Amino acid sequence: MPEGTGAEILAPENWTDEELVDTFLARLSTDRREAHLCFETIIARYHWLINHIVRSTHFRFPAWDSQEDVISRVVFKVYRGLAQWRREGKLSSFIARIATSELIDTYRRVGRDKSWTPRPAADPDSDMPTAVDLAPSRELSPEAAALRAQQTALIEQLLDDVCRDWKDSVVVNEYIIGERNAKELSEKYEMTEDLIYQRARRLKVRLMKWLNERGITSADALLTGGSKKI
Amino acid sequence: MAMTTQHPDEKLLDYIGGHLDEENRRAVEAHISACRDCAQTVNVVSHLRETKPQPSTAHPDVSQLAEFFYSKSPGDQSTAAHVALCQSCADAISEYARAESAACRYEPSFVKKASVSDKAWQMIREWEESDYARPRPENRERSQTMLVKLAEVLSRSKEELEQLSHQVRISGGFKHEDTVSVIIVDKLARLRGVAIFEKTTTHEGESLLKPLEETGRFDNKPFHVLLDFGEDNLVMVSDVIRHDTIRLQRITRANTSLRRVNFFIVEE
Repeated sequence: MPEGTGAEILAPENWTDEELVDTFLARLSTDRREAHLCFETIIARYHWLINHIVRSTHFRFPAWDSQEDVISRVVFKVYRGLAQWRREGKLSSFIARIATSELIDTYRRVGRDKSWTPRPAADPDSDMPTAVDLAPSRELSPEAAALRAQQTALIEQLLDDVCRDWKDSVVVNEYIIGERNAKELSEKYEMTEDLIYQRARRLKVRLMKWLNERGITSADALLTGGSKKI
Repeated sequence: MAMTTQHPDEKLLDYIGGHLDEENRRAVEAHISACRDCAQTVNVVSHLRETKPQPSTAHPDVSQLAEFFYSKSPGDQSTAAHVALCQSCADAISEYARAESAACRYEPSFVKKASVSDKAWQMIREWEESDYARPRPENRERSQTMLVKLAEVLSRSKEELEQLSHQVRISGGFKHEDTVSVIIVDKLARLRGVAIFEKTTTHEGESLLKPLEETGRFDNKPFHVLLDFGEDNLVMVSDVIRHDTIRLQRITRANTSLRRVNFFIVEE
């Protein structure tokens, strides 16, 4: 780790990320000005990446919580979290994780705010029934609700057991159940189409094994608890 | 009934969705009539598509989603089932995938113009003045500890490493040109062996290391480069191996030259 005078600290552009972060952490409690210089260098290196992640998101944000605001919060959280950077991964991955988590957090917070809606507001003077008025009741009878809960629990158990990681989960969600094609998934999740087919094949094998082990031979049997071997 | 043809895995889903032409539809139906596994798959998947079950659990919080995406082991499986059934969480995962892909490709360059915004500095100052602003340098210590341990491996096992490297090269018939020896250690930095990697340079001048036998054995494993600039000036650069490939960063030091480089992979 570089040690020494302020003159060295003023030119840390050639340091490795590890050296910058180590020096930043070391100086935080002794010389905050130098720590801030290191931090500015880190942000100068990675600002493009943060900017790219925030601005190319598929989420939409309202004017009162703009992408600039999100970027500022990402930068703050990088500052706050640098000590948690595990050196097994690149700093760019660590920063990308913080930026994406902040994006998702913001999107969820914005979604909970009822004053903001991505759709245009309805005419308040109109006598026409709204979409909410026209929507059928989704409430199930107690018996149907209990049966639905039982079925969902079994399906979740099945998915818990056959999905090994996020790639399996999104292949089940979008490709197997959701009927999207491999090309769309490949673009959305940055996976190759071959990988998607490979994952789907493996999922099918695990699904069959899971069903056979429980003596389940059809969807009806799956949704009514199989042959009670579970 | 005995199965007579290979499982039509990709076509099976198209069949369920009704996207096959007459000829392929008949072929798949002929297969299904003889193959119990594929018939079961069609039955279960068709039902899932019709009913579109929703997850019973609340959305995982952002840290759980991030952990699920970045984790190398299955970990919390309830998140796996939730993401398999929840479109908004699958969309959130796609944001992580997109960002991670950009991060892996990203070549950092120093941009003078890019600066920390006033708003970010304001948040930083407010946080620093608050009671809970405590620097936590645990990972820095972990990094330093690993550097010391790897340096110890080099000094302690020098002869053993040379012999191992020689044996691996002889037995595999590998030539010295364009290959490097990578030292395999466990998490406690105990020597496990040596692997030979091929060194290549891309058109953009980027240096890559790839194992001569691409088995996926080293995928997602931590990788460390120990650079010796002399006079106890050791620098460690760390990364994770992605798709059997290691991207090497170019590290230079003013007024000093690189004496030796050693590569390490940490296996569980």
